[in-house]
Amino acid sequence: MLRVGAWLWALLLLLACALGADAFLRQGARFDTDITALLPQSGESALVQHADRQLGEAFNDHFLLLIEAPELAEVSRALVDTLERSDAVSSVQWRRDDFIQGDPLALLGPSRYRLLDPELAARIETGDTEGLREEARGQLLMPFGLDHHPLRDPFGLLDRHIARIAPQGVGSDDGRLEITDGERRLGLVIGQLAGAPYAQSTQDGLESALASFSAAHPQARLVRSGMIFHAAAGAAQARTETGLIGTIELVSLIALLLLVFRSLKTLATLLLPLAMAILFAFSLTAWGFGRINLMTLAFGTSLIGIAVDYAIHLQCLRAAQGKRFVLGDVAPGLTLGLVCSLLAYAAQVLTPLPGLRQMAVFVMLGLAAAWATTLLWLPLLPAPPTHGVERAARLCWRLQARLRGRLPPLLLACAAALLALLALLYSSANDSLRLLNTSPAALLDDEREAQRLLERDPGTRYLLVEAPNVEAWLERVESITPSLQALVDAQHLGDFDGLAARVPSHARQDRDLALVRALYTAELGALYRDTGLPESLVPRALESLDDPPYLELDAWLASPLGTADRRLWLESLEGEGPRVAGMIPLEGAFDAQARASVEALAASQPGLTFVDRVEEISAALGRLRVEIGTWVSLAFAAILALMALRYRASAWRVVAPPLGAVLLVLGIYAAFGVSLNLFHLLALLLVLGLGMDAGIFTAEHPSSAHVWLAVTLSALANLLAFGLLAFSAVPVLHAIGLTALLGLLGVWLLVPLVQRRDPPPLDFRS
Amino acid sequence: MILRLLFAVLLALPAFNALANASVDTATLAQALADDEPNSGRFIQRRYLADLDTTLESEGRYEYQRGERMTWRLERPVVETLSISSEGVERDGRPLEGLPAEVSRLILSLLDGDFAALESRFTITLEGTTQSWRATLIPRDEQLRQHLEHAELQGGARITKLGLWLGQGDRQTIELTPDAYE
Repeated sequence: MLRVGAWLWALLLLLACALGADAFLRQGARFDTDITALLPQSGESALVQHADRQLGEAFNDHFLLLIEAPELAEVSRALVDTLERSDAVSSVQWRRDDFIQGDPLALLGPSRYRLLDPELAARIETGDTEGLREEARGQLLMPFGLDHHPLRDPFGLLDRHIARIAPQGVGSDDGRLEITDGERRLGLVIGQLAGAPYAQSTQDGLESALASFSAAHPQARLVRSGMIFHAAAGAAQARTETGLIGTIELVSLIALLLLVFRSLKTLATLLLPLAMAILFAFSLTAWGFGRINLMTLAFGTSLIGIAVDYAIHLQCLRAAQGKRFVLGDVAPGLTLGLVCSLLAYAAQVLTPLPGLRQMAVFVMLGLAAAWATTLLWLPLLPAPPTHGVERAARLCWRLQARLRGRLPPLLLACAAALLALLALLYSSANDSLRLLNTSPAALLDDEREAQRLLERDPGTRYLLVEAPNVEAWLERVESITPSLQALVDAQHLGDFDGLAARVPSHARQDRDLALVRALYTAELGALYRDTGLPESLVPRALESLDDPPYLELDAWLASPLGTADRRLWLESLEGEGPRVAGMIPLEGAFDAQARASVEALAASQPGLTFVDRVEEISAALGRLRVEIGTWVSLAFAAILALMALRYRASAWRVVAPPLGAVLLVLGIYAAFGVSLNLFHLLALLLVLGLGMDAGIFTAEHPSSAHVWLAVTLSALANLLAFGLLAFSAVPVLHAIGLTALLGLLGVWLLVPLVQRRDPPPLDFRS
Repeated sequence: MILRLLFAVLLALPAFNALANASVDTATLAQALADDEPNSGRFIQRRYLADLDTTLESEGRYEYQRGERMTWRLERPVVETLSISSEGVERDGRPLEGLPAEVSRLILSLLDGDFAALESRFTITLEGTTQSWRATLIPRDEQLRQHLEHAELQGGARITKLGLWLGQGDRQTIELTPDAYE
């Protein structure tokens, strides 16, 4: 019977491997380093998602380098050469000519009388036309602008408009892009990626190109900006830490197990379920999801500890019982432990976070595989030698004897109540997105510097404006512009980018035309007199103001000049009735006052939505924290019922270690003011799983020294692994590590503390 | 933006004065310009508008302080001072909008004898002798050529005349008379 099961399991494993190989070789499954795959995608309208994608594109698909070097022109050229040779980069823009500007005269010339900036409009409105005339005189005598003609544009309106909409301070003497920051001059190079920023090949390609450049030009300093650099840093850190922590855990595990079992064969049998667990989980996850997130692997290292747990329990029992061993003795406990763990992880499968779902599926598959390997394969392999196990078991038993039953039920209840009260009263939560931030400080400094110098934003905070048609849309943007400008002037808001500044509404263009007519009427005759032209030309000049064409939004967006603005406009909206939408990105500083004002603004008008992607993700993480908490509580209630069925009045001794450990961690965090996040909760799941295993096995075999040995070994192995995670620089891994450290210590202490005070007859059976 | 170069060419001309004492080729030009002395003088500028068949005439003084500042002081028919430094252009002491600092830096680097920048944008032909020469500049960029057909410089010991042919028959000329030059 056992042999049939073993064969079936082997077949199933083979099938899984075949599927996994198929996924990798034929269907192109790959590793994914996108940490934001952990984040929820639902809960937002399709329009907001569309807007997010469009605004984020520039940041995701492009990267930007600022270069500072003594021989700036030559070094910039060398950088561009290096980048152009790289497979990771599809194109490089670094000269002004790389940005096709089109002919501003053809596009804007006819409409120039309708395009006044607010300052100029205000000057005409307040009657300061004489000053404008004085400014225009010199230009008529010696023009240096575009089409500065006495009839067509005596006041240089086109030049003023272009000056306002043109990017300021970018450009160099020899046509390169260059920006000035005080005394510093920095070259600007913009690259487009050939692949996704999360693809490792793209990251490696760009990384090696930049490394070879830096090696050849050590005097050059690069300021980097773009998603790819952050993605690469996150992936590198995850790889390093996964590798390091995994290795240290494996080495310490092997040392520990060799010390106790003193047999390489037994060691191999202990690691077998672990290997099969990883193989099975990895293959089926790759097959099912098409890709494996590196965070899944990082979290999957926790699986190693639990997977080896079953084997330790089984082999300790076999060593103790020798030939008297029957599988029936250990199967119920192992199965119950598996069911409890699966229940706890099932809660995660229900979350809307795809990355989290993947982790949970990975762990559940791995646990099931470890369980199957332990129960079906290990009994067929030679039993471990006994003498080392016996010695270790005696040692542990003596240690346990000192702790046994030191915690009477009443005291335990009081302590639990106290901890629960502490946790309820003083627990705080922190769902900041910064938890997911793996970028080193230097890179974040670079990003801030680049965004400051270039007023570039990653497009995460913006106002989404909807309207029935283009004209209404532009008017809506114009109506909120003064409120936003007031926030900028009061330094609550860094800046904002309203499309209506480049293309005003028809109403605004009509108003501007009327103002220009007033200006001509008041000053044109005098301007001609000043410069020696006959006043009789005035009527001819006024003819230009007879119904000039409007500047239309679609013409602007279709022209080379409007290229950069296309990201602010959403095309072809589906839904009921005709409607249009576009975005106003909010850039730079954004304080509480700005947030309150913008939220109030959005609430006061229909068709106006304030979107803060960072804030939304944080809120989503918070919702998940609560959701997972609820699901795990429910799962635990089910587990309690299960325990009560099997262990009756002693059920509390089974659930006290996991539950007590969780309360202990929560209480300690509350006392020390550690804010809880989603990842603390995930680690508590691990504590629950191992705690349940320990509780169940102790209840199944109350007088067996080997069980206590197994509990101790398992706790030690995991303590080593997760104790290390607590030192991780990644906030997520740190949270998981610290929680597991405290929780596992709690479990290990609580298991003996809640047993009966009188020791049961010692049973080594050897 | 390329059109701003018009202005750059216009104001960079005193730099060509050094041509007079060198053989007429751009290779020695930079060297000659590097020896240039600070100079000043009077200018007359004429703007011819073909469609109005009218010429607008104005005059004033210029002063050039090597590597620091170029001052263009209009006296008639209106009074106005343009001042160009590496930070940008000022009109009557107030920064001029819309003229990037790169243009003013380009002007100054031209005055300092950095001809690489100019040659990268224009085809330069020199003819005549060092006592009487003429330089023709044709924009390499097609877009710029739509607005500036070509520019012409004339001079002897120092530059005396500049002309810009702007298309549709419009042109701008500037005559320069250096102060007490020997």
